Amino acid sequence: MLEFRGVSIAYRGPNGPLVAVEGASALFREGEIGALVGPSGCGKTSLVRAAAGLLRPMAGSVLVEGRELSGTRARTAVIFQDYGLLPWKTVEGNVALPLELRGLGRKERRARVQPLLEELGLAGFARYYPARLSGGMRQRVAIARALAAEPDLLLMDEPFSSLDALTREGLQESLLSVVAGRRLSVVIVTHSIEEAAFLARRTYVMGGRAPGRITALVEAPRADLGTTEAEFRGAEFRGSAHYFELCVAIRRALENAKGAAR
Amino acid sequence: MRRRALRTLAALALLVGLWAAGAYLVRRPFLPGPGLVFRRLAMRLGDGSLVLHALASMRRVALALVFATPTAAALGLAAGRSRRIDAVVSPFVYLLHPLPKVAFLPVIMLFFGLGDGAKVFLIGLIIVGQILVAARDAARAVPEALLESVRSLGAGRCALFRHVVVPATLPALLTALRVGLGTAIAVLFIAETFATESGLGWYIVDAWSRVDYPDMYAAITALSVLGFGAFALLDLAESRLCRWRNTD
Ligand SMILES: Nc1ncnc2c1ncn2[C@@H]1O[C@H](COP(=O)(O)OP(=O)(O)OP(=O)(O)O)[C@@H](O)[C@H]1O
Ligand SMILES: [Mg+2]
Repeated sequence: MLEFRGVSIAYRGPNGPLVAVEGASALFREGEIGALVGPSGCGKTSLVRAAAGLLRPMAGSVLVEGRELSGTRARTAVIFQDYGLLPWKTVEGNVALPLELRGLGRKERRARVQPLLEELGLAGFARYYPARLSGGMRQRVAIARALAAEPDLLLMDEPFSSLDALTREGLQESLLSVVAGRRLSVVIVTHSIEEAAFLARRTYVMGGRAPGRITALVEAPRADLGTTEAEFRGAEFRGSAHYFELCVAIRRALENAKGAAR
Repeated sequence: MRRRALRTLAALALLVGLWAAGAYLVRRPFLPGPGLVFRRLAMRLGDGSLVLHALASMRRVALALVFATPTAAALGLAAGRSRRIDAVVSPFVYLLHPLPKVAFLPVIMLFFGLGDGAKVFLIGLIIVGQILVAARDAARAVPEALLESVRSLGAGRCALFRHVVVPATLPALLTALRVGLGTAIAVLFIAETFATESGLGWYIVDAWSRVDYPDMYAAITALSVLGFGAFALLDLAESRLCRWRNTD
């Protein structure tokens, strides 16, 4: 679970402090995927960095699993758009990195990494270096690495935005199935209305720029009783009326946010 | 790899050919042909005299490298990643780096005596500067996003150096070492013309004063081969240590 309570974030600028985000409040629930959408520069990455404990907010507080954050945390994993993987480590070495940092031995690391590689369809690529993988596969490696840390919170900053549409949909589906089997809260930052509508239970919409604000929350309908999240968002979901309505609602919220900022 | 070796061999053949043609056209004693020089080299290597001098030269360069490289690399990387260390180190580098350190050889000899200490120190001093600057600049250029992604996995300062900064800067460090080695061999030659009777540098100057040109060229060839061997060794190290960069 991740909660922002009135979070404001400022950077040191050339003419005094630059307030990137002001008074952001949001709640991302346990076991759910939540999204953060908004135009470029509205402060999405800043919020992710605050949630990861990589920067300290100027005001407000960030709570993870009910506890106020005071730095990075072992069970929070972050996936960035690019640069996430170390070019000098093989796929296996990259995925094992969080375990290596915890001091696990070689055997133990291999035993834990192998199933993850299989889960993400990377089993044949363990010894490849990232430079030799396609963009989609690299992000699969990034997901496997994030999961290796056995996180309870997964933060993703535009993880699929440099991929082509088909690869991207494949990865979105992989993400859903990865989350389905785990006790994991996911926050995904995206520019894409469709991505938020497809993946997220709750989508927070941001607007404005320096400072950016969270202006609306769009909630997806709950899965009917008796069906799981994965079944609800099965292959037909992209063609369903639910999905279409969600896209429209998110788009409208984004347009309102833009109008309000002017 | 194979192809590169073949191309290098072809270039060598061309250079020796040019040398032979030059010697044939000039026809003066100060430019003996490669045949004569190689025969003399084989003879001097056979009777062991040149081997001892080559070993003395190698020892000086190797000692300088062993002392200078780790010190300079560590200091440079630390300066590149920490503003506070950089604030102390960089002004000194800025002032001392452009100084012609070879000119300090007499002073260094007064402090370190006439033995190998002074020569090793001078060579080391020059290598330190080159590697330190390269290490600092390379460490500064490590992408912040890469560091942040590993930091988010819970890496501390040490782990960041081990998993990110050192591997990211290794290619630049090896390049600096290569440049440094070239300089080191040049400085070695100068240092060996003073206060010693060992080393290829001394041998070259001695053969010169004896007007024994084939001997002089034999020693020059030996020094060149030494330099080339060191370069090849560094190449090997790079292809081993930076395997991730071999994309073919
Ligand atoms: N390290 C920094 N130093 C100073 N200002 C920064 C820094 N990082 C971001 N900013 C500023 O903060 C604001 C929000 O930036 P942020 O990167 O969080 O936006 P974003 O929503 O992630 O944008 P994008 O969609 O383009 O990634 C911007 O105005 C940006 O210029
Ligand atoms: Mg961003």
